[in-house]
Amino acid sequence: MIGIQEFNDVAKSQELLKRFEPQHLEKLAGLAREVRFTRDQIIFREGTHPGFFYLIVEGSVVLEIIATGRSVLLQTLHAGDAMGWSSLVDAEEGAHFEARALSPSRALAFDGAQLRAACESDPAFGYRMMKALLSLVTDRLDASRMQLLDMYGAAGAVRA
Amino acid sequence: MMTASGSGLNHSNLADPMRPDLVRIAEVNRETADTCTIITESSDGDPLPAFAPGQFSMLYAYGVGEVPISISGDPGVPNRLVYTIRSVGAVSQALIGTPAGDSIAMRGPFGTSWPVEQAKGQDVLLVAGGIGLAPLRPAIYHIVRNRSEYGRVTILYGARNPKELLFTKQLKGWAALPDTQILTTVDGGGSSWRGHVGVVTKLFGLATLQPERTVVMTCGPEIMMRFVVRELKSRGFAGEQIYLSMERNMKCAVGFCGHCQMGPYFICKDGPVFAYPKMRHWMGGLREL
Repeated sequence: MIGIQEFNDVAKSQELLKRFEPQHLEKLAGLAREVRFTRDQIIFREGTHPGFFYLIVEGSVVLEIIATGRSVLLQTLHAGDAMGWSSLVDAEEGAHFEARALSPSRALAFDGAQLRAACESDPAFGYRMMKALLSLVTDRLDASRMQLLDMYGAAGAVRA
Repeated sequence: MMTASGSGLNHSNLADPMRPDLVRIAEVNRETADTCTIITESSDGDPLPAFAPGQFSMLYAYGVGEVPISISGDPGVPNRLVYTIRSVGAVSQALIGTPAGDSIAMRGPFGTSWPVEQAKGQDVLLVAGGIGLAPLRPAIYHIVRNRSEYGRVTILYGARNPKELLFTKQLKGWAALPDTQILTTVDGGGSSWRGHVGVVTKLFGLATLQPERTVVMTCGPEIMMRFVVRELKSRGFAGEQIYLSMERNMKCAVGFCGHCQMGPYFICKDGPVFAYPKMRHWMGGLREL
């Protein structure tokens, strides 16, 4: 657990927490613990239960997926980004991707089960949390759609 | 002064804009698997025309055809026109397949230019995608040559994968200049890639930007520029601060044939560089006829 003052300082750089009320930040602060990752440390693997939702404070992390035996990089995340959202909504299936630290990184970790329980017991907090999560997922979906367009490929060029 | 809203060094400066001139290919440099940069020089000793950053030429490969190609070289170096060409069809393939020493035909330069004069005294943000870095490179050369006249310079560049990033050595050199930030990202990378992965708009969060004092120039696939404009607006940039370079299938290059018409504009004559408000109603949702 980290202090509310320290948490509020970190929260200022977190896009996800921009619209949280002070009492909601206080609730989150009570659930947060600081974690550190070394370069190339696997934070969670695809299909395993990440158990934690993370807000990255320092460093960079890559989301990747193993396809036909090799790693395909999908997106890099940085300070201010969140990861491990499946721990909040999909406790059974486990992580959808693998997360690996690209550089020494620091994050705030929230136990998914505790966070889900907090959302259930305080609907106003839960609603705020789910709105933030939906915004995060929408952002990821937009980015994935753009990547799927292969817009830099020859198909997107004026052919001549 | 050459601006995106004015005509700049366009066909009105030329005696006969439909008459091509011979130019000799001095060098062909491979950039990526499908992209080469060709350096052209005068074939008869007459000086080549000057150009403004953002302008394009019509290049003709004998017996194959003519295509518009943006100039990617340094506007401060006279008598040399440089083009970075991606092979996407018969003509572009023929152009990059022409060996050094042979000649091609060239008309131009044509069109409007990046607002490098208006940007003086302000920060500059350049956002490029794929081959879109090539039309922006002359503006970067100009800014670097006159570095003290500009504020902070930020270049955000996205490509399909690490092997398709253009001008990587130059980008590294420019990144070392004071008050200059260059961030690159790729849509997909192998496990050895340690740079950014994701769409170019994700780089905005990593850049140090002051919207109220920044001129934006962007070039890339139209869909990318639409997302870039959306991101810029969400960060407080006004449409008037944003300039983009449009691409259409140009033929005459002087606004006669109508091939490149987009609403009330001919991309060849009124563009290719436009202030965003002019394009606002014509970008996105329009299917090419």
